[in-house]
Amino acid sequence: MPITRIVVKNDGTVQVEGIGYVGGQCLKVLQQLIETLRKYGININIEQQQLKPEAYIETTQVQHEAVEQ
Amino acid sequence: MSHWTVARLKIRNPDIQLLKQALMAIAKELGVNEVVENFEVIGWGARQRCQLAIPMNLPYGNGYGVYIDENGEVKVVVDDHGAPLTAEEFAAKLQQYYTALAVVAAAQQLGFSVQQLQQTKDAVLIDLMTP
Repeated sequence: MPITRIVVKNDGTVQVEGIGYVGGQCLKVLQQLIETLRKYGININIEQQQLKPEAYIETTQVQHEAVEQ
Repeated sequence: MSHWTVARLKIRNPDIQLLKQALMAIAKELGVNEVVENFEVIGWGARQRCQLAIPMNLPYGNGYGVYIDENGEVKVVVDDHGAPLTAEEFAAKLQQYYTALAVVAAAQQLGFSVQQLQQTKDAVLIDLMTP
């Protein structure tokens, strides 16, 4: 299962790492967190973002069609 | 001699309960185990009414106070001369603990589960698992 790792450093900066994600799902999770944190008075400005190779993998849905014989 | 200091946090319109929890964590580290409400923090020649405070005997003050100003910004106030934490150190700690608590609360609100919550020398580490 994918994990979102959040490290809140002593100087207050926040590092977020997506572990085990494929495609852009980790970015969606990050965006959800950022929006929800605003309700608690925390505005997170992204200063740097680095995508891992797995982020560029496109996830596609494969539809299996029943084959009539 | 006074070091009456007001320090601003990067938190605006905070959740008061989370703020209180964050303060309680700091209070325990300071060996006080108490957070009070509506407390007047006093320093050398200065005083400030605070919504929340950690009361403790300091060489030139009576505790660390937290108040929210008219713009919703969180500020800490203390006469930190000879105090165990400077105002800046206290503010940084409060910022860190409040942020960590807010991340946990936000995550739970989104339906994530907290797999790990750990404090190290340099940071607070939180692992979240999406549903």
